Amino acid sequence: MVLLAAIAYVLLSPVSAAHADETEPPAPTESSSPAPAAEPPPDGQPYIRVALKDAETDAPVTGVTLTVFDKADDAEIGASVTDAEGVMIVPIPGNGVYRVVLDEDTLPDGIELSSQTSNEIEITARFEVNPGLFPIGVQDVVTTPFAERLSGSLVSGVKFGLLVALAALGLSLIFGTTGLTNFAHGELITFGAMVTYAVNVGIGLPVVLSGIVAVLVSALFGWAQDRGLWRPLRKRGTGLIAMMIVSIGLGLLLRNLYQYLIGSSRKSLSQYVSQGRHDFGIVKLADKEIAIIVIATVTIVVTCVVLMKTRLGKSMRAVSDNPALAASSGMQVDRVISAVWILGTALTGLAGVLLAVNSQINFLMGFKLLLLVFAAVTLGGLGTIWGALFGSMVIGIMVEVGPLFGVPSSIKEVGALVVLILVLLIRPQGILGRRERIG
Amino acid sequence: MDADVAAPTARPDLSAIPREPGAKKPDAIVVGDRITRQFGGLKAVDVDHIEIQRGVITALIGPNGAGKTTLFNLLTGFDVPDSGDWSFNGNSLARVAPFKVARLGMVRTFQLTKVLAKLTVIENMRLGATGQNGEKFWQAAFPARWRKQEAANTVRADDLLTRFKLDAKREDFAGSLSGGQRKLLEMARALMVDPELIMLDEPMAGVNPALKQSLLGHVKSLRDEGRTVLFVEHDMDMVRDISDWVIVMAQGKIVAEGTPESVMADPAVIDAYLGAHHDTDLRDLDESALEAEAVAELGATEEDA
Amino acid sequence: MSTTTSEPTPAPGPAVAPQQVARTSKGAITAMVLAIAGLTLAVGITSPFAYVKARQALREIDAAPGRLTGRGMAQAAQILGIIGTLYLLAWVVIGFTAGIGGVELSGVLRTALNQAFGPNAIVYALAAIGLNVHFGYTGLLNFGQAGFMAVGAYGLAVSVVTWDLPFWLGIVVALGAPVVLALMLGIPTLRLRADYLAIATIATAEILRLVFGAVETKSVFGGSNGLTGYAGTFQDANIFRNWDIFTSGALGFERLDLGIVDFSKRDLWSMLVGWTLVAICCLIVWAMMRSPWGRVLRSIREDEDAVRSLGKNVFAYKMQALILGGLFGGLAGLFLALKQASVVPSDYSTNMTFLAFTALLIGGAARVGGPVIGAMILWFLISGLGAFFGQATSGSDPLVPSWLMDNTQSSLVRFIAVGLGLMLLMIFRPQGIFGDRREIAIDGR
Repeated sequence: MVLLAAIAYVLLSPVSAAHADETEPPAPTESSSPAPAAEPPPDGQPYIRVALKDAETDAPVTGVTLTVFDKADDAEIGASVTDAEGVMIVPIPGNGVYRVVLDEDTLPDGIELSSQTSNEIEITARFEVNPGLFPIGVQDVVTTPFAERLSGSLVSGVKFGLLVALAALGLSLIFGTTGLTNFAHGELITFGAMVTYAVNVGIGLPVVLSGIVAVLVSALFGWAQDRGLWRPLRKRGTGLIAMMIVSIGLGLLLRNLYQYLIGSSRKSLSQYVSQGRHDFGIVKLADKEIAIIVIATVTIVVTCVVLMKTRLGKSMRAVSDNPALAASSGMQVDRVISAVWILGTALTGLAGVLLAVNSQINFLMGFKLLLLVFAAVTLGGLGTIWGALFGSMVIGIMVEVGPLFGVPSSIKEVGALVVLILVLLIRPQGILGRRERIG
Repeated sequence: MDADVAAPTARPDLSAIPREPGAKKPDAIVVGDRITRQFGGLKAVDVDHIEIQRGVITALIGPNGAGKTTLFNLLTGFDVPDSGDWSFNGNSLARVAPFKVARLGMVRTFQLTKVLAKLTVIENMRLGATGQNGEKFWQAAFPARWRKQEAANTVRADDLLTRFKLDAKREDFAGSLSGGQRKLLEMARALMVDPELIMLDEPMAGVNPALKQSLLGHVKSLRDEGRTVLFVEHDMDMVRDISDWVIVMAQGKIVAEGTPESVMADPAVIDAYLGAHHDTDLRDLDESALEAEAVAELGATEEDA
Repeated sequence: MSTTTSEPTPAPGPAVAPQQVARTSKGAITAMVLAIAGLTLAVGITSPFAYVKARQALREIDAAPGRLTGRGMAQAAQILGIIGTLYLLAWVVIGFTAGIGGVELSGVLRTALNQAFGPNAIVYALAAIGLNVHFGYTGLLNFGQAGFMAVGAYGLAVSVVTWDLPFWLGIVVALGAPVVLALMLGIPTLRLRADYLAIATIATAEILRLVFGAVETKSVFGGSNGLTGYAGTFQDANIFRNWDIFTSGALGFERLDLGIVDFSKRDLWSMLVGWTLVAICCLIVWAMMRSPWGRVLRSIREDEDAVRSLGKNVFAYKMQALILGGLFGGLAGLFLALKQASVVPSDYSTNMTFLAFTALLIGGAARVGGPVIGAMILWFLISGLGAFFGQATSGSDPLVPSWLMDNTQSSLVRFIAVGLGLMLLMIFRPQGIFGDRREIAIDGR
C-alpha cells in the first residue's frame, strides 16, 4: 500500500459579496463526480474553507461531503461537497469553534481515512485569514489486492488487540483477586492518556518521558484507589454488586471530570502525530506503530513471566483462587491486592498511553473501549489471564478485519460484541474457562 | 402422633438384603447406574450401582471428600454427571432440571442451610407449597384466584411450624434464626413440597445438642409418615440411632452397605475411615478429593448472587 | 406490604456475646460532627441531619442504658443542629429574595421543580420501575435498560415512518419489541451468573444503539439524526389544545403558570399521559409483588438453589421478570419518543441506563414507589445543579470565577455530582430513601 498523506488546508477569511447558501447538503456523490466549483459567500460573512488534497500527488480529492457543526451546541451549520479542486466552502454565522466532519462514505472509491486520523477536525474561527494546517491521512486501497488488505488489517488488528490486551490484563487481574467487575476501568485507560497529554503538552516533556510518567502516575492512582476506596469497602463487607455500582458512579464521576478538564474535543500529543509508514513488503507500518507493538508485547510477556514465576505472582494467583485459604496460610491478602491494583492500573494506564500515541486523546476514549475489554475478558473466560490475552487478540482482529468481510465499518465494534453474545450462548465459561467457573 | 402405631409394622424387612456394595433392594425408590463426575483429574463420584429402599431411613456416610454431597447434587440435578443414569420411581432423571426432580417428589436440603434470610419464617414455608395459582404470572395480580389456596397453605405451614416448634418465630426474618432452627426450618419447608423422598445433607451439622434429640425425632417421624429418608451425616451416634440402612462411600465409590451394626463392624469401613488418617498416600488422595468436594459445594453456593 | 417485627432483627451470623464495656454512641459523634460542620463549613446544610441524627442517638442511648455513653454530646449536637437549621433557613430566605452573587435562587428552584414533575422525570421513572422489577425484586443485573427503551421507541418510529403502518399498530410493535428482546437476551444469559447478564445486556444495548445510528441502516432507522414525524396522533389528541388557561411565555409558547412551576401545553399533555402510565405501572408492580409470584421472585433474588430445590422453575420466573421489567423499559422509550416527537440513537446510551439505576437507588430498590420518587429527586438535583452553575458562571461578573469554571464546564458539574452521589449512596445508604436494608440484593453476590 502506498500511503498518500493528504493534507487539507483550512482557510477562513471574510470576503465581501452577498450570498449565503445554507440549503440541504448535496446528495453524496458516488465517486469522483465533482460538485460545482465552490465559491465563497459574497457578503462579508466568514466561512470555512477546506481543501482536501492528496499530499503526495497533490491531486485534489473530490466529491467528498463535509459537514460543519457549531461545537458549542452541536448544531449543524451547513454541509458541502468538495469541488474539482478538492475545495469546499461553508459560510458560518460568526466567530467560534466549529467542528468539520468528513463523511467517509463519500470518499472516492479506493480511498479511505487511515486509521490514525479521525474523520473530524476542529477549527477556531477568527477574523483574519487563518491557514490552519492539519493532516487527514488518506490511504489508497484500491490498487492493493485482497491478500494485502487482509494482512494490513491483521496487523492493525494485532496492534489493537495488544492494546486491548493490556487493559484486559489489568481488568482480569483486579477481577480475579477482588471479584470486582470494575465499570470504571475504561476511565483508567483514559487516565493514562490524560496524564500523558498533561505532561507532554502542559509541562512540555517529550512524549516518551510523559508516557513513563503516566504509567507511574497510573500505578499510584491504582494504589490510592485501593487504599482510599476499595479496601475500606472490603473491610465494611460491602457486597460485590454494591461495589460494581460504586464503580459505575466512579466512572461517571471521572468521565465528566475528564471532560471538565480537557473539553470534549480530541487532543493530540506534540510528537509522532502523523508519521509516514515504511513498506515492509506485505505490511506497511509507521515507526510509532512498531514501537507500540513491541512495547505492548514485551510488557505482556514480562507480566506473564512475573505472574508465573515470582512469589508475588504466585501469591496473586493463590489469592484469586481462594482468598480465605490464602489468608489463613499466612499470606497478607491486603498487600497482594494492593500489588494487583498497582500492576493492573499501570498496565491499563500503559494501554491509554499507547492509544494516545497511536491516535488522539478524548475524554471518552476509555469508556468506548470498556465494552470491548469486557468482551475480550469474557470471551477468554472471566478471571483467567490466558483467556484475557486470547480474547483480546480475537476481539482486536475481529474489529479490524471485520470490515473486509462486510461488517459496516462505521460500526465495526458491533461484530465483536455480537461474538461476545454468541460465545455466552454457546460456551458461557469462555473459550478457555473451566466449566466449574460459571457455577 | 398417630403414625407411631402404624409405622413399625409397615417398615420393610431389610434382613434379607445382602450386605455388599450396590445391593439389590426389594422395593427401590432410587436406582442408579455408573454415575461418574470428575473434577479436573479427580473422580469425585464413581458409583457403579446404587439402590435406595423405599420407606426406610438410609444413611450415606463416609470420610470427608468421599463424594457424598456431590452424589446428592448429581441425584437432584444440581450438578451434571459426566456419565450415568438413575431413576426415581421408575422415571429416568439423567439431565432432568432440579426443579423437575423436586416436583417428582424428591426434595433435598443443603449442607449449608439455604433458608431465605430476608423472608419471614412463614413466608419461607409458604414458598414451599407446590401448584400455587398465585405463582403463575397471569393469575398473580388477581388475589381472588389465589387467596383461598394461600390460606390453606398457611394452615398447613402453621401445622408444620408447630410440629417443628418454630411457631413462636412465625413472623421473624429467617435470617434471625439460629443454625439449628434454620435446619429445622429447611426441613419443614421441604415438607411443604410433600415429598416422597426427602434427602437431608448433614442435618445435624452445627446443631446444638439440646436440639439434636428433637431433630432425630423429626427425622424418624418422617419415616413413620411413610416417607423415604436419605441423609448424609458424620455423627455416628445419629447414624446408629435412627438409620435402617447405611451406605458407605469412600473416594467416590460405594465401599460397603448394610444395617448400622453390620457396617460399623465391617473392616472395609474401618479402613475407609482410618485409612484417611494413617496411610500417607491415601491422605494425599483424600486432600484432593476434599478439594473437589469443596469445589462442588462452592459451585452450588456461588449462584447465591 | 409485609408486616415486619417490632424490633430490628440482628444480622445473621455467629451470635456475639453482648458487649460488656460501655462505649460512646457512634450516632452522637456523627451528630456532633454534622452539627459543627453545619455551623462552620456547610452553611447549615448538614444541620437538619445533625438534628435528626442526634435524636436517633438519644433514643439509642436511652434504649440501651449502661452500654452507650455520650448523652450530653448528643444533646449538645441537637441544640447546635437547631441553631444551624435556623441559620440555613435564614440563608434560604435571603437567597430567594435577594439572590446570591447574581444567582437567582427562585429561578433555580423553578427549573428544578419543573424538571422533577416534567416529562423527563417520567421517562426515568418508567425505566427505573422496570429496573426495580429486574434488580430490586429479582436480583437480575440488567445494564441494558437503554436497549429496551430503544426498541420501544424505534418500534413505534420505524413502524409509522419507515413501514407506513397506522399509529396504533406502531404502539403494538413498540410494546412487542421489548418482549422479543427480553426473550432473545434471557435465553442465553439467565442461566449464568449475575455479572455475565450485566455484560451481555450492556453489550446488547450498545449493539442496538450503534446499529440504529449506523450510516448503513439509515434508510430504516434514520442514521444519527433518527426519525421524526410519527407522533402526530399523540399530539393531536392533546386535550389541553383548546383550553384557555395558558399565558404567553417568553418565546411565544403558551405556558400554564402555576406560580412555582410552569408547563407548556405539550408538556402538560405529556405529563397527564406519562404520570397515568407511571401510576398504572406502579399498580401492576404492587399487585404482582404482593402475590406469591412476587414472593418467588424475592426468593430467587436471595437464593436460586433454595427455590429450585422446592420445585420452582427459576429460569421461567427470571424470564417473566425480565419481560415485565423490559416492557416497562420499552414503555419508557415509547413515552420518550412520544413526548419529544423524535428518536435519536444517542439518547439511548449506556449513561441513560446508569442514570435510571441511580434513580432507582436513590428512591430505594424493592419498593413500589422508590423508582418514582428517585427519578423525581434525580431530575430535581440534575436540573437544579445545572441551573445554579449555569447562572453562577454566566454574566459579566460570575459568582464562580471563569478560570475555575466556564459556562461549558458548568453543565458537567451536575454529572460529576451524580457520579459522586451514586458512590456515596451505595456506600452509606444502599437501601435508598425508602428501601429496607435487610431486603435488597446489594449485599449478595
